[in-house]
Amino acid sequence: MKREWGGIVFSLGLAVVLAGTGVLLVLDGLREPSWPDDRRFSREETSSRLNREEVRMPEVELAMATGETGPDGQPVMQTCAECHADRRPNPHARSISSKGFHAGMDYHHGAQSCLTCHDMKNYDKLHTVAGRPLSMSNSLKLCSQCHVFQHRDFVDGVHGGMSGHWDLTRGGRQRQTCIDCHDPHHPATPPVEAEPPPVLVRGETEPEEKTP
Amino acid sequence: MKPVCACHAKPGAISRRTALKGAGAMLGAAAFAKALAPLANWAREELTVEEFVQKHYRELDAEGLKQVLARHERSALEDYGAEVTIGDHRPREGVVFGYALNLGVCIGCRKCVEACHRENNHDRPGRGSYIRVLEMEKGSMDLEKGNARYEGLVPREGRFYLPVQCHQCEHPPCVDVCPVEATWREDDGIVVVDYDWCIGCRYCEAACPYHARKFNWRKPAIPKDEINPDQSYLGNRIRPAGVIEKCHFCLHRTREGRLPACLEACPTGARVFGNLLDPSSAVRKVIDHRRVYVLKEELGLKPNFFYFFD
Repeated sequence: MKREWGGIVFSLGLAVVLAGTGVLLVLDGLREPSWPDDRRFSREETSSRLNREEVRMPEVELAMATGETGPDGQPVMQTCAECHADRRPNPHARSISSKGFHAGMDYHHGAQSCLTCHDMKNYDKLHTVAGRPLSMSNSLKLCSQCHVFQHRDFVDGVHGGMSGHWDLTRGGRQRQTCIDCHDPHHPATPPVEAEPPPVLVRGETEPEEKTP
Repeated sequence: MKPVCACHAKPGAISRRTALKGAGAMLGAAAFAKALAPLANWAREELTVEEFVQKHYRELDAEGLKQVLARHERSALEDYGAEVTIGDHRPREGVVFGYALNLGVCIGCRKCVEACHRENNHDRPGRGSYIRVLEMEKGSMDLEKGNARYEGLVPREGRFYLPVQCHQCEHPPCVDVCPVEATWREDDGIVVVDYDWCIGCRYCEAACPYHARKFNWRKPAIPKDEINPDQSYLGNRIRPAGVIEKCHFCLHRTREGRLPACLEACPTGARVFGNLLDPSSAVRKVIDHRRVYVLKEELGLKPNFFYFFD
């Protein structure tokens, strides 16, 4: 009789210990890993001073190669104004003749004439539709006179490449301008070669041919 | 003569029963060893005691974390010969990151894929990246019909291009299924993975409806001089084999206020990134003023990744 009671007490004790361990394990599993107070957020100081967003103003080469080679072996360059100083401007020129100085240029920009953008009073400059002169680098202002939707998107930050900081309190941002991507004489961008597709690694299966 | 059963056989002689038992046991042991053999290849070479007893990232104190980071920096030097800095970039209060993508200007050039590949120390031969670009037929939004393996000149006539990466959902199913809490959503909305805690079960990979999680089938092979030394524990540090990885919005850059690498690489400006809690941010301007939509909205996961056509 005594032995039986001992067995029952032992079994009950074991059951309690096992159940307790089980409950503790489950509770530990349910517990979210806690954050030490000092590690959850960045403690970096904030500044209220805003850095600038800068639009690139590229240096535009104002000279074109004449096709001749100088005595130093370098191609002879000539600025726009050098030729156009004593030539009568032709406001109706809308295409590039296959002969002559501008022959190599690819011009596909709607029905614009050369002088829609180039300033006939100073060929080293551009002009606005209102006739005010504009520097060659200021393509953003020139182009946005017509391309208002692209300009709106540019201002909203959804057109044109950028680099730098999303947070202007911690650094500036650089924006590309129109002519960084678009040739002003042929603004439609040509197709580009895509970077190579992903390769299959061990464990991945070849998907079915999906190109229609 | 009376037949003699095995139990009455002469002592010393091996009975048929014993022989069969022995053969069975040997066969069993061999099968068991064979079944476990792949595990031996999987176990990381020399798992040290330090690695074995390491705490969960969120339970490490400052000193413990410093030691862990230093250990990973050392192993990058030993394994790859590269001097790297592994930081612990934490979110800022008042910031929740959002991403918007202008499908009207995306040309499918995969420059973002390539930038991610380099920035995040992906395996070079595997051409790993957190971004997949799907070539889609115009008029269709069926993700499953997209072709991720297009090549050659883009954009093609009648197609549009849909880059897909982690959507940093507000209700991430990948986090719900993780049996060991190796992945969670941080206070700035970025869903992260503790690569030291991940057991590689791949439940999260199956749970993600955007196919945004990838498994490291092998230790990444990267030449020493191509390793990006600017690394983060939860971000772009070199992942071991056998763990899951995913896009973390370049947290080693964005938590310092910089733009993500895929955005800087985009030549068309299709990508817009910023703080969703700041009404003047570029991403908020898109969400407030344009018709945006999310992929697989019906799943109710509330992604912080939006698409729009300009």
